[in-house]
Amino acid sequence: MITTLTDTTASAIDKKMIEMRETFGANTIGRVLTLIIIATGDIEEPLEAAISASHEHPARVLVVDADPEAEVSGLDAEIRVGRDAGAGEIVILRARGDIMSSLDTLVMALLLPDAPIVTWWPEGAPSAPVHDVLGSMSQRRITDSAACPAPIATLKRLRRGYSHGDSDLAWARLTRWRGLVASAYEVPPVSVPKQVQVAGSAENPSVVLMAAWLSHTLGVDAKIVDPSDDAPDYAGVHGVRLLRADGTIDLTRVSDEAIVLTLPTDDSGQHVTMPRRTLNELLAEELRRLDPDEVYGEVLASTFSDIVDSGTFATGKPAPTDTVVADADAVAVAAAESAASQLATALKERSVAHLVVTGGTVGTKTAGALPAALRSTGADLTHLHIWWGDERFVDPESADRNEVAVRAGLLEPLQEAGLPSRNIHIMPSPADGMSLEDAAAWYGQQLDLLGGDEPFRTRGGAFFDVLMLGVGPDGHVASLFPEHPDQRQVGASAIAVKGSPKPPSERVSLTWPVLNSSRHVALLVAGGEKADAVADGHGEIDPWPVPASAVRGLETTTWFLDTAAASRLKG
Amino acid sequence: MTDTNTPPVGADAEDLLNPLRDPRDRRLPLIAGPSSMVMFGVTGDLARKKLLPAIYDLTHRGLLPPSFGLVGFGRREWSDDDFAEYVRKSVSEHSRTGFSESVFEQLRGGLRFVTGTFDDSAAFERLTEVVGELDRTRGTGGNHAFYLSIPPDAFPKVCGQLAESGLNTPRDGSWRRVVIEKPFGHDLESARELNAVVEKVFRPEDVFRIDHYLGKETVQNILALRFANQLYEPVWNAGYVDHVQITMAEDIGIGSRAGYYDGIGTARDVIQNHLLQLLALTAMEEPVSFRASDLRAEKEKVLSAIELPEDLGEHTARGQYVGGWQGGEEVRPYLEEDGIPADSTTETFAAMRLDIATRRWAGVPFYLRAGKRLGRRVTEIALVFKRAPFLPFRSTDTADLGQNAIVIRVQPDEGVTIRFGSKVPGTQMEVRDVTMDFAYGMNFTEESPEAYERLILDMLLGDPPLFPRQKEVELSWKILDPITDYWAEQMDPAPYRPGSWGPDTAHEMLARDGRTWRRP
Repeated sequence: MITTLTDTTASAIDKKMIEMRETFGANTIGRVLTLIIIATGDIEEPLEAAISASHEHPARVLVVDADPEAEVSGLDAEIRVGRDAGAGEIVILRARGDIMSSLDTLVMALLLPDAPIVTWWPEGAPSAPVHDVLGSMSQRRITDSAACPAPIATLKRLRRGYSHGDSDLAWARLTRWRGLVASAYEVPPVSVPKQVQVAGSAENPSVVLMAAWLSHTLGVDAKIVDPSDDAPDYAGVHGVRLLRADGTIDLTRVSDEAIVLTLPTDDSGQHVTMPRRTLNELLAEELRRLDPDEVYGEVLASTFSDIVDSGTFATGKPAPTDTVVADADAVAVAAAESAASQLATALKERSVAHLVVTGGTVGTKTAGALPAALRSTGADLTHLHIWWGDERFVDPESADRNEVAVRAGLLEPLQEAGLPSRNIHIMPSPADGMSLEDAAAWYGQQLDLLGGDEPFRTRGGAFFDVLMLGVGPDGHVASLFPEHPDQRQVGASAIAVKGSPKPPSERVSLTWPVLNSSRHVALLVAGGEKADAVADGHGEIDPWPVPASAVRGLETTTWFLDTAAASRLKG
Repeated sequence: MTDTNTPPVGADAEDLLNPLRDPRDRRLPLIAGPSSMVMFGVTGDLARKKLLPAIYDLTHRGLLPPSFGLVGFGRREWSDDDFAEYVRKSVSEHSRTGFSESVFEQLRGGLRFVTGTFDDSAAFERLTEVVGELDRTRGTGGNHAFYLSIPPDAFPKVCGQLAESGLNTPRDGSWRRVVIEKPFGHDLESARELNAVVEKVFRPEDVFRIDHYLGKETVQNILALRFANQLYEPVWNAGYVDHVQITMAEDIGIGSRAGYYDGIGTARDVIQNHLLQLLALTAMEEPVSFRASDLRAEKEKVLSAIELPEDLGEHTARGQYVGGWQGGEEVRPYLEEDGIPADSTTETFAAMRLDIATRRWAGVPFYLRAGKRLGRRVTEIALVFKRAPFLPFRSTDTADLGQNAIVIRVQPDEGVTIRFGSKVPGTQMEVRDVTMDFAYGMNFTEESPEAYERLILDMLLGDPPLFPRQKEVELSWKILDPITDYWAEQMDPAPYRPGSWGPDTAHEMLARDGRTWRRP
């Protein structure tokens, strides 16, 4: 049966479920886990898979059907039990607007006590599943890179953000293939193949994982080869060949149902049934074991083992330019005018603009000059979003807060000029009742919700339009400090920084990949004490000793300097 | 116990050397290695309804290797194609996972048939050739299993022929295994004779005794329940447990098994193997590992600690169903079933009390009962606990309260029930029995493989924990032989109505101890 609740709350849903249990006795017995499905598109297909899997794993299924863009916030729910829910019970949460900013508390009341939680993103994968507010409380986090817009880029991103308990359906799709290859390996006389080939598209994550698995376990470099031209158009793995001393063992898919195996001793071909796996089977397999899939972790790590240098996020972009003016006030005016026109262009071309502001003397001055500069462009501010590159994790009214510093000069005037307050994305403080880690995860999720993970998948895309950064005398930007271990975290959008060399010691900061996903970067520096840092920042991209060298805009990177700060620059 | 995704304990060394089989890689399906199975008695009921469909279902689930061969051996003048037709018919009627042409196609390539009788040496030479041909063309690698789905009196001939043709001897690095079905004899002596025949030809570790009951998930779940939890162990002993009841009831009669059943009876048919195995799993100490040898050591220990009642007349019961209406259906009495002599004294119901002389179980009787045409089909193990002292309650408060119980339901509706007292809402203080129920999902059985699939796969993988060894078989006969001897001499089966819970003697037997049978 299906019960619908409109304009409701989680506790009302919980109450309704207890009431339904008392009335019908339907939804009580032996649920083994809570499955959370974060749907961004069609919910019926994942739901059907969950219902089917519930026969093997009786679960409470929470489907979050989100519309974060909705103007009016609210929650509708649909409860399905009995025949409409397989062996489980299903709650569909239709969350609109700001409700999505507190997804964890939305589902909290509906989680089964003590039972494991599994979160599944059938389409969009978060930038780092474990840093997602729901992912962080889940034992198992299931993504599907093949269903994401840029599959290989998504897989890379998942590799950066990998943590024990992550798994991807592209890996589960390989299970029967892998079983078959493992038994083909055992065909006597057993020997390690000299060469291994995987046929399939190098753009398919399953193909890439298959090759990585074989390379990793056999110690032979498995090559991805294009399937032969006359091969039918399958997604995924077309075939695997093991080239051994005694001949070739070849496995080739010949239809959706079957593959053919040829052995060195028998090239007539043996027919092996291996139907393509359905989503239902994949999900049921994922739920079978809730402990980390270490082998997947290792294979994923070996797949893209070359991403280690955080400098790669900045390379390959236009070289920075300098705008040198007389003093700090002139820097602020020049930077504000430049930013205003870039934002106005964004609002005109894309109907949305994202600005990252910063603290510090020059940063605050620039923020103060911005309302006037924006006013003169005549831009409509309804779709402008304001973000922070970093924030100190201290009392929300503390003078240390970057947000407090720009409140009077930037936020209040802009709100008067039409900026909706929900577009101001302030980093949390201890007063919000979160730990430092929770705060960073929450902020990362706010970025993801508005599409901030889009550029995270690749260096080629942009999310922010204008990113303003101050530069410290030590060369730090945001809260990424020279030779501080926390700057090496690139798995999440936002991270917790502890033991900052500059007080206060606890901060939240955006990370290299996100900082490098801006169209325009403005580095705002004034004062002779920063002249060395400015000179170093102009050198080679080298994030570990000189963070200021490693943030570049996709279109422009501009150093706004006063003459004192520019004094050590050559030429 | 292992399941199909974890590597087998005691698997062949070559399996462990495969770098693709990482023990941590628990997704990787454990597919049997290259091998073939030669089936004797392939035209029998068991082969047609269970074994061939199980092999097909394993193929469907992708758990048999592409290079798998299946050789039928029988009297019929069949070509390979005739045999393939027969297999197709059998699996399309009886497979669990649904018939698919593509899966059958895979199996078909490895189907062969050899015509012959068990004393025809030339036929066994042809069999040797066919097996060799499979090694060459299908890559079965010299690994062959012989499934003896034939009456035990044919074992000597078949084993002798296998030895003569050299089929029982593996080349280096390959294996030969033999599979035999219960009954493993009908008493201690016959069990020993049977074993001598088989073990003369195959090494003891290559003999796989299939007791399909032990392939059931829940039997292994007993091990998980007992040894993976902290909750039960402290109360799993004579300090808390009053007694244990193990029931295996069937609501059907003997059906077409008259030829086998008469003269054997319920005690030999199921108590000797199934119920004593369940008892052993319930009562044994924790094994140091789930390796076959460690598990067996504990089971053998507890089986050898079993003591029979001194007065077998008082503490055993024996019954035979009469005719009447059962659940809306008129059924024949046992003595009028097809093929049963009118003066048969074979029992269709058996019950007995056994004690276990260990510190854990001293003074805790284990009551076993099994039978045909009982109230419903159910197999369960019930641990019934001692009564609490009820000190703070008035006697009227707890009038409705029974004894606490943990019930492990083996089939159907596998799961665990715990019965305990709870206050009745609204009343002042009145305590009544309630049950807390865990079922393996309401559709669990749909997903759970057939016992034969599991056992055939484990046999091909060389994974022995689920298979009883000769010592266990002999120990169980030692327990049962005195009882069946006593019955033969001094106790005729008492009549009971079909659809009831056995003869009055069974209820009297418990009443003597001041207890009653649970209604399952």
